[in-house]
Amino acid sequence: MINQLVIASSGQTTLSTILFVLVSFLVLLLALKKFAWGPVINMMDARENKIAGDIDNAEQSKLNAANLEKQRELELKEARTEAQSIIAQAKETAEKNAHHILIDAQDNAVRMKKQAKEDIRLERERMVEEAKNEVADLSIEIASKILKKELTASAHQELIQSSIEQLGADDNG
Amino acid sequence: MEEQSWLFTIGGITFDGTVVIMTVLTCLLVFAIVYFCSRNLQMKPKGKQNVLEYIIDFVRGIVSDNVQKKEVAQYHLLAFTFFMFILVSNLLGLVIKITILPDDVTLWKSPTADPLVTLTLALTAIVLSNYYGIRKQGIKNYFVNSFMKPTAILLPIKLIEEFTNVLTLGLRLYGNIFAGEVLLSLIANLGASSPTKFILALPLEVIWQTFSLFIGAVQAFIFVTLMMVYISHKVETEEH
Repeated sequence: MINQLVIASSGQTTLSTILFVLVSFLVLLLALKKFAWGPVINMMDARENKIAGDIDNAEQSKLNAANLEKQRELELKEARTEAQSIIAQAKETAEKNAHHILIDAQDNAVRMKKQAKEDIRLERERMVEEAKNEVADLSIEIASKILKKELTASAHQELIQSSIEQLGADDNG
Repeated sequence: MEEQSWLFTIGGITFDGTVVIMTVLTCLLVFAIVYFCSRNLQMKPKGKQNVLEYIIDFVRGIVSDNVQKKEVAQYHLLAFTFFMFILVSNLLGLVIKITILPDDVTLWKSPTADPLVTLTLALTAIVLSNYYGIRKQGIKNYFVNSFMKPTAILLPIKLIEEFTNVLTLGLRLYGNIFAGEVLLSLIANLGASSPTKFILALPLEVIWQTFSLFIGAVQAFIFVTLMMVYISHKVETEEH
């Protein structure tokens, strides 16, 4: 069968050709394995791993970035609410203080008014009293001058009364 | 078309000189290409490294289509060597044609244009597939899974199939490449007969060389693919 197929070579070289091709093929295989195959395959595997690792890393980085972003948003929101609460509190405090100041001022004013009125009243009374005394002294002096005599206290009193009434009558009249 | 090979004899054994020279040349070329391309490898590959890695990846694709993922590395180098050897062989014969008159002794041709070479390669592939089957499953399981499935009645057919596989695998390659070279020689002879015919024959030759280039690459791919299919039939048992 083989011999009929063989066109290019005579029957005597059949076995030698088969063996020669087989041996040279095996030698080629081993030579490739020894000198070139390992490094190339290793390099390709290493690259595959590196790419896979890089992709994983990229995904991880993306996740981290997203997390950070979320955190940032959260913190910003917190800061905003905190600021708002601080402002609100400050406002409230200020209003309270203002209110207090107003109330105090009003109280003070009322108190001072009262005090002033009281003072005025007392002053007037004192003045009236003084005036009375002065008048009494004056009238006594006048009386004593007129009468040229000392009066007893009761006579004196009477005299005062009468003179005052006289004065009043004089005023009215 | 009675081409003769150049014969020589060493120690009583006659060698087919043409096949010997061309086979050695093929081996040297393959090794030189791979060796040259695999110098100072980079993580970021440049030109020649890209070429080599593309071929390696291509072959890996063929292998991983047929066997389990974890076994790919085991057959990868074998498939790659077959692929490169056959590819370079197929293309070598297209480069030039050297004959020595008067006997029409051919000194230059594709090794794969010789049936013995292709049948040797085919036999190697089939024997290896059986060897891997035995190594993986043990003799008994290998025999049962390979030749007694789906029924024991198929045993003789399955046995014959091993031999027909060798023949088809080898002769397909041989036929394609040999026919291509014959046509190349015919066109060349036509062109050599007269100046006007030379002008006619030149584009024809170029066209046919281009087509042969394509055929050579396709045949290398087919050979390796079928080899891996045969290996997978012997190695993968749960599929059937």
